[in-house]
Amino acid sequence: MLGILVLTHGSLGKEFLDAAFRILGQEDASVASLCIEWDQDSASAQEKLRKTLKKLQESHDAVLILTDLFGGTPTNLAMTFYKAGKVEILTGMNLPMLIKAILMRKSETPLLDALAILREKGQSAIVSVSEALGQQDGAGE
Amino acid sequence: MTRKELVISNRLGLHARAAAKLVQAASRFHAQVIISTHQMSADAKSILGVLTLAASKDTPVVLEVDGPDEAAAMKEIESLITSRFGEE
Repeated sequence: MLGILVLTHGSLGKEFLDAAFRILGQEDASVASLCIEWDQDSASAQEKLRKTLKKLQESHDAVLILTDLFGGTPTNLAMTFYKAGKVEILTGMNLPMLIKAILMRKSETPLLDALAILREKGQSAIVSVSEALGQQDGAGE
Repeated sequence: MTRKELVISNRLGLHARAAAKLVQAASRFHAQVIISTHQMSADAKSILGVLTLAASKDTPVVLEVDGPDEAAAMKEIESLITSRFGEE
């Protein structure tokens, strides 16, 4: 089974997870969030991440870490725990991507398949409203 | 297959919480449930699909329910939409 860790700057991760759980109508104990505080030193942040990850790994075969920003501290810390096929990292998380990840976890999608689908979903969920409306106008003609 | 035309009538339209209620209702049944606007169709058991419809207040939608329990499913989903998802 897949575990998911939402790892972000500030309290973003907690709020993202709260929003996803509210939309889905239920919480999921296999999905955790960890927020790296702005003034937290990297050694203590890394230790906190190690413990959170270890806890998830105790009850899951593989863990997907979703982070907010490639190149940011949460992603950089996550990369020190990267293990192909066991601990994978996807950056630039958005809410549709997170919701999809939680749904795929429940349907027991293998980690590497989930990774590819979530990357695509995260990108396709970005919609310019003017383009969407333009397409709708066109469809009605 | 049962088909019905309805109108989304709650003030906020098919927003996240309303969409979640619709998906939860549809998921309780075996029948396939498709909800469509003039522009697109979505699986009513998929939260991201339903949100993609971006159906605001007064948007007409078509429900197509197909399966052994389609009558009960249609009844419950219709009731949810016409009761404005219990919001107002």
